[in-house]
Amino acid sequence: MVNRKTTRIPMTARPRPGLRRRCAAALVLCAGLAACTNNPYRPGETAEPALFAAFSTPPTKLDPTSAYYVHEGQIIDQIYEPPFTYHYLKRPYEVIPLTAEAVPQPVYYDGNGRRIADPDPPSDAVARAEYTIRIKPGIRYQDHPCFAAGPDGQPLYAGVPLDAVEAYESPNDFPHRATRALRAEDYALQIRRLADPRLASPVFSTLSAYIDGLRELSDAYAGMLEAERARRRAAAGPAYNRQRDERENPIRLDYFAPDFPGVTVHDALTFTLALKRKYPQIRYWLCMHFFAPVPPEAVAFYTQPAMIEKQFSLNRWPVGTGPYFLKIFRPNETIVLERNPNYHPDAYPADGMPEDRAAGLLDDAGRRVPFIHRQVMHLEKEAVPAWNKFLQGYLDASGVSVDVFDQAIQIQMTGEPTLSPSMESKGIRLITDIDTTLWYTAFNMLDDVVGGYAPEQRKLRRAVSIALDYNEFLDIFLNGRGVLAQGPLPPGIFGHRPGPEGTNPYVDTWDPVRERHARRPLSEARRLMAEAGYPEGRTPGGEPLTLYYDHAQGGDTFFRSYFEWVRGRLDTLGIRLRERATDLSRYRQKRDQGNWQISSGGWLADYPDPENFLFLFYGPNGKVAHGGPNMVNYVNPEYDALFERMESMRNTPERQALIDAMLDILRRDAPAVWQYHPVSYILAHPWLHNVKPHNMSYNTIKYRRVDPDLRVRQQRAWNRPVWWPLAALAALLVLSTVPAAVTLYRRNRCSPT
Amino acid sequence: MLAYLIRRVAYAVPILFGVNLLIFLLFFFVQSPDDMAETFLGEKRVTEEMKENWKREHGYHLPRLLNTVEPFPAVFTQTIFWQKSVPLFAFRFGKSDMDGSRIGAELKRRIPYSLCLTVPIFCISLLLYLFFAMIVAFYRATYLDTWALVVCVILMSISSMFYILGGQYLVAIHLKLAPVSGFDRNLLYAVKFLVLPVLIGIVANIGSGVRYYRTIFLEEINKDYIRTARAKGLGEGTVLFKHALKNAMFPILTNVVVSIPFLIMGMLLLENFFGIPGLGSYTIDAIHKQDFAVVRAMVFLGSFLYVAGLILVDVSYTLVDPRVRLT
Repeated sequence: MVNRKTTRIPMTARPRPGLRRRCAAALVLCAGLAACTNNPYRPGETAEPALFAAFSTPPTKLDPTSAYYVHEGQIIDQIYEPPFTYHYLKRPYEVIPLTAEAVPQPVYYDGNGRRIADPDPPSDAVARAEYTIRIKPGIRYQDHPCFAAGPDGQPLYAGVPLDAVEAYESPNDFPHRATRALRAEDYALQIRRLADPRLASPVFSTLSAYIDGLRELSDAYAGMLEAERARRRAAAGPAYNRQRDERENPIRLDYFAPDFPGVTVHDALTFTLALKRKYPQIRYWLCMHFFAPVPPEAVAFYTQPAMIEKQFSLNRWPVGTGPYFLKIFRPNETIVLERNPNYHPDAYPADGMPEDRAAGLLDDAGRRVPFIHRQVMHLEKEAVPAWNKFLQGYLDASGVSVDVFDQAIQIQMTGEPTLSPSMESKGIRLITDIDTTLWYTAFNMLDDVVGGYAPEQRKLRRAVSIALDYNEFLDIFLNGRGVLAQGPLPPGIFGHRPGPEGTNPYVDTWDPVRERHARRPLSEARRLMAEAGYPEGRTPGGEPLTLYYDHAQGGDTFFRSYFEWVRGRLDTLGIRLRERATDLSRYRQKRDQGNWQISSGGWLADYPDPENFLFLFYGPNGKVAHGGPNMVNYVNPEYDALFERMESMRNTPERQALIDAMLDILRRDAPAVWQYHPVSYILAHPWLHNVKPHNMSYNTIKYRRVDPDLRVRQQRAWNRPVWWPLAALAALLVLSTVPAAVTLYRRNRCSPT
Repeated sequence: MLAYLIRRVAYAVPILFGVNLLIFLLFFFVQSPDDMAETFLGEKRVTEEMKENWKREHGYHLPRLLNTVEPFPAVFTQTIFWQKSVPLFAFRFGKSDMDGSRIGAELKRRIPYSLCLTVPIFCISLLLYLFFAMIVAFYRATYLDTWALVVCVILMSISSMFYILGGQYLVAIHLKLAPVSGFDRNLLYAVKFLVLPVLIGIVANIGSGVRYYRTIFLEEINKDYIRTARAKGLGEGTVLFKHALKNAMFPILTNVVVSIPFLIMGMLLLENFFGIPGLGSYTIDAIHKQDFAVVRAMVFLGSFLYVAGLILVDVSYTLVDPRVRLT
């Protein structure tokens, strides 16, 4: 033991008071300054084979029954696996099996229940269509506590109290997790869940028109729920609060109790989906997460009070068989998808389009996927920070917003977009693709002025169509990122004809020099106006023709500029355009009642079939008469008859001929101004490989590959801290104290005290 | 004092009830349950039946204030107002209309993130503003005072957005010293994300802060007791930091203490631009998504904190001045 009293330190060696503290402070400061970095990730994080991305809108629904938005699909489509999917590289889009062994051919039955031998019978001959799907054996779910079983074989976490799970942040934190093989009944359960009124599936109304018994199943579920709620309310008395009650004591619906002829499970791996009529588009629906399997164990697990209290639900914690599982879900901060160790054998496509090989998209042909171990997504609500992180190399890919277009892209004399030198110097690649999206200016066909089917009314709409030159709009507002639409069908959808033969002859011409469509001259629009009874934009009474644009975008600055452009274009025909701005609620009401004149609409393809666009103008889908998606209330018996023949046909020359005829009718009647199909621009860093835009499927992360070593090197090279401005600022601050010191010195000298 | 506090808390109840009712009426005046259903369900493939289902599942199928088809007391209890707004008084915030998450749990989770941002800004700002204000007050009527005021007015005139975007450009992009945005739950890693927004939060308000406190100090340092202190030969530091500061506490406390409860409400712009998942960004998101349940909870919380802040100010007066009695 040291006698402290006798321990002496020579005066010369003893640290001066405060020196040690000052040294420590200096060290901390130096360490702090050394730690100064703009790298938003933890040390070493980007050296892993992970993909770093940003999302701007927090997902709210991850349940495959109700998720419908793109940003939700981008997450759950990595987790859930429907029976079919799309080929990653081939265009036009090709449906291929995913968990199914094959894409089955439908079996058709007539009204007497007899099988129809014709593989493509007319729609009216079909009373029932059956798709028997056999899933591949050996597909297993991600590890999840819902599959964990006790020694008695019963679910380990059945009836688990809240205290036992209080500390867990996610189902991944449960100490016991297990998996099991995918079964056909999991698909049957999910199809039944589409009818659960509590889940509000956005596709229920569409699918219930086709899947046998789906509507009746929904009614049965609604009845079961109402009966249980009425019982509970009677027991609880007037203070009954249903939401609170169902949080504490959730209603467990016995999904398999009611009869449902729509799905029949034959054995562990086979089930049949039965439709009430011929509907070949169902194979596209079977590529969507609405038809992904949900295990009954997961439903039972998540409907326990403790799980509800912890917000563990299918809406936040999916249970799937896909290449990734949800590791972290903080929708307002970070979402992390981790590679599913139980993922079944799956390979990168061995073939694609002719240009794919040159683009390096077939370099990984046949290799097992997924390549990326993790996908890390951070919330970036504002576009500017996200763009800057991409430039710093902290995001692997980015879109190009209007604000940064000039910084990223240069348009050549030929109209071809290329990267700016600063982007090229970083090795960034530009990938463009035409979206399967339609934007259109809608005329209300029920309106006395812009609607109607008389030749004069058609001419007025055609004149307006010519005046609204969307090539000009694209150049002014979107840096040319779009293709002038010639009808409702975007490129990439069967029925669309590119080039001169796809021209809308009433409104556009083909420009062989620039190889694009162009609007007819304004003189033609003026002639049409005169023939419509509005010479120089004047009504028969001599008043200027006044049209009204209805919208609910009063606060949108982009819309204000857009509206001024539309007004200016119509002014060239002498038409006065007035806006009728309302709030969204009133606008919807006007639209539902047909109490509007001109507005705008858009449609993003659900699946790559012309029916998905042409049904927007099908009479029985009229908004006012039937509450359907035909917003313009267009009714043309000739068109409707063609649509009914075309909708359930295979993609044959006969179908193409029908579509040509339908497009001609639409172009002639002009119920809308066909605006444009947007072109998306993707920028990718050189370390990101296998990037090919896919408009129909989001389960493409498994095909991406990164080179983490290159990423780390580039991040270091691009992000060296700059210190000298800080030193200069510090010097300036010190200098600025000099006048104060001088003043103080003078004041003290002059002070009488 | 206890009786006074009980009385103040009792006064707060009708105030909070009135705020709650007002917000409820205002919200339903501009936003019907049908609109909420459409916002949630989106535009594509939505039918009237789906909207009705959504309203029924979220409890918006009930009448708003009076359920005339029900007997007493269900005439009041089976209404949207009773089921959604009255539980707030027991701090039962319910569930978000848009994602079904529990608002109470979200508040608990997000308050620490907001505090990570607001507490450093509040503390450092207060010290810096007081320090600079005293310096400027000390150099009153000199060219230093004049220039300091000019600089303060210039700083006050600049928009917060400029500070944010300029700060991000200069520090994160040009100098590469801090991340552009982001957050980390681990405080050790979160520091690098907080440096820049804290710096911007301090600088953005330095003009108004220094001017405000300078005015208070100028009032004090012209008083007789300061002259007496100087006449007694006390150093200028002692005069300013001991005598003047202590006596200027009343107006400072009024300003400072009422702000303390609001620290947990976070900062709307900074949180949004820097990706800090606090209550500020929660509120903005709820407004954008028209999530009535969250907006209602946040407004209730805001009004509650304001009332709490005012009570705290009264209590703080008794701490700095023993002559004050709350009766």
